[in-house]
Amino acid sequence: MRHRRQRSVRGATPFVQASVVTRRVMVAGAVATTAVAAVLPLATAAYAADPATDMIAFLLLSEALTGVSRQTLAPELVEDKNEILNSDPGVDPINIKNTYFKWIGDHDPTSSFGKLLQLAKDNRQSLGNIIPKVNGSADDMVCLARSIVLLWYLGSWYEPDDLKNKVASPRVKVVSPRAYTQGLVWRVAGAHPMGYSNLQFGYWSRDPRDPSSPGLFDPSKT
Amino acid sequence: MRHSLLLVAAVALSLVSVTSQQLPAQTAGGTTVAAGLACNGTRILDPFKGPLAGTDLPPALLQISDKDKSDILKSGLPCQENVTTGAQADPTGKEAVGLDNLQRGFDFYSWRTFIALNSPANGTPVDQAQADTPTLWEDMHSFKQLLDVMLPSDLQPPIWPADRAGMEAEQERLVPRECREPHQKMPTRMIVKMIEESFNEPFKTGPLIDQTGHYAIFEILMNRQMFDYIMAHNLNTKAGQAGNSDLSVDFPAGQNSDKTVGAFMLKISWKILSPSEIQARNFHMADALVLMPPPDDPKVGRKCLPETLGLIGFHAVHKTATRPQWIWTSFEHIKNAPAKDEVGTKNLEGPYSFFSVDCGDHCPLVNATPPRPWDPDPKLELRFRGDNSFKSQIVRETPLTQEAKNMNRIFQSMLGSSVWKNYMLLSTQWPSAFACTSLHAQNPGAPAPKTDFLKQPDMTCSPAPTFLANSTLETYSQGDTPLASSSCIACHENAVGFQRSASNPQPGKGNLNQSDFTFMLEKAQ
Repeated sequence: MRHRRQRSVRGATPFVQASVVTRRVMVAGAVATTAVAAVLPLATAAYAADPATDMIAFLLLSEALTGVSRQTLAPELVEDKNEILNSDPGVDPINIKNTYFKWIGDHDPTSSFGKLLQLAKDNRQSLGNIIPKVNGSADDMVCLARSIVLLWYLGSWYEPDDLKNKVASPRVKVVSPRAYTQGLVWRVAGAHPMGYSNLQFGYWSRDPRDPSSPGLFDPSKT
Repeated sequence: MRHSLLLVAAVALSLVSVTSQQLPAQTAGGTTVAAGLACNGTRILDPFKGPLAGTDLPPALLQISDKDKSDILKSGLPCQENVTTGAQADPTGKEAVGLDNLQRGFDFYSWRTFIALNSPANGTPVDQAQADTPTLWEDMHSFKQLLDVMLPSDLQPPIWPADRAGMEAEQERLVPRECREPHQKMPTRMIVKMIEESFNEPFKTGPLIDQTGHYAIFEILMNRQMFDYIMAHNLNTKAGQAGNSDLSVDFPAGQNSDKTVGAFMLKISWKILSPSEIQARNFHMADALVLMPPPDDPKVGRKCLPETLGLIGFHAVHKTATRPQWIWTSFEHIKNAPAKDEVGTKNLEGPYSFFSVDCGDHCPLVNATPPRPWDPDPKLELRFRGDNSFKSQIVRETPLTQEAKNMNRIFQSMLGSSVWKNYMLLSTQWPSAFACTSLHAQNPGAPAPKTDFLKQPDMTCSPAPTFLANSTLETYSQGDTPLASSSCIACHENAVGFQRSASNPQPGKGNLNQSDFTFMLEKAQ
């Protein structure tokens, strides 16, 4: 499936605070958007100074930003109990983390992604510090962090520059057909994207999953 | 199935001797005998020395000792998968990625399953099997055709006696009227009753036409464990299903610990062999009487045609205690169609059954469905068009992984001159999210339903690989487009029957009408 249309998102709520990251702002602001856009070819160069530790840092950063456990984000993650950065991020059939990592590296014209990864590495023992420190950073970093949150939740890339400039209809791209199916927003809501569902026949007759389902945010509680 | 053939060939054999011949691994310590099929509960890991990843197959991987070869070829049907994220039996045989080690374990399971089910029913070693040697799965002890279970309401319900005489009598009872005369003349031929699903691919995406202009033919079968479950719960009729609306359909699962086989279903694809193909003996062959599908005009009679069929595709699907999403094994003949990348590089080794290498400027569109109408014309019998104006031009969209190619080379080398060296594993699809599968798989001894899908509405548990298509069975659903492309588990999780349960069931009484990953129940009449 390739989405060949790119369209502005009408009626999307402008992000009032361009320089503050919260999940509530991200999801509430973006959930009303329809993210159907062209899939651009990936640039050849991916961001990866140190691929192994950078991927772990990306997962730590993503866990801090999204509130979703890294085991959910990377189902085959094998953690090193002594040094989290030495963990094996693993390979799973979808491997959406790799898609996102490469996409961000290819679409960050600043050095913000590297700085965010370093921030995650430096705060790997206390992930709760990451959001406050991001919010105290330059706008480029803040807005890239916001794009990362939106990417995980919606499978779509919101141009950080447009977020920074408070563009009412930011440019949005669905990253890939798989990304379209993997948005966390669907799992949180107990729903599915249009045209794609893994939920069993008749699921609509049942109560939706609890949005705070501990399994999503902490797989040890499933 | 060639039940009648076996009847004649084995008429002098007692039940015990037939069973022991069919199941050479039966004498091994880990094997047990169930009615029809036996399985081996011993944990067997592949002994191959070295990783299978990489384009060049290390020579050591093809140096299989006689003992290892014998152990594998005679290991019998696995009761359950034996997989690990680490090394297989040989410590050097470890892939770099945990998921690849698991895939390797499942693929090894699939090859063992394929060999066990296709081993000669008469006990001949599989590496000596000839093209026309009847297989274990074709034996009436092992599997039963779906259409011999889902009978019209004016027939007595199906039975599956334990004794061969009883099975033969049941088989005779179900010979269609149109086939009785040829059946009397050719009693050894299996009978294939065609319905729309016998020539039209899933989701009515169209028929597959070979290079001689004939339809490919599809067949669905179940093992005795599935049959017993269906009959025990009255699921063989629409009325029976409707009257059992509170049942959460939960077929028995295979398990190493108690050596139970569990539910197995097969989907087979055949091509009609030409005289030269019969002579070449490169396909597993079965002499058959093919009953044409019901024509639109009831005044037109259904013909029952004697044909020699060649095996071109083989799906084996097995439910196990740890994989309640079932394990989906897909094989096909190596000369069905080239892979897309082979076409691109002109690395073709034809002739192929469903691809012309020399059609030049007149090639049909690749992977295009045939022009309508699709239904067989009774006058043309099993030819698609009288003027042979259309032949499918099929390529395999998703190439095999290097690991699968290498495992195929190993097994094909072990199969010597057997006809089975002409078949290859495409892949095995399995649910990869173990935390998710554990939500569904309940402990042995737990009350029914043992498979609990109420805890987790997403029943698929992240299939690996995400997509899997056989070029003869999901020809027009190949690719990697979510939902549109073939994924065994993601498709079959939508299977339902004719149960009609409450739309909002109470906790503990939930039943969402799901039929446990099989569409078979939809064929009830």
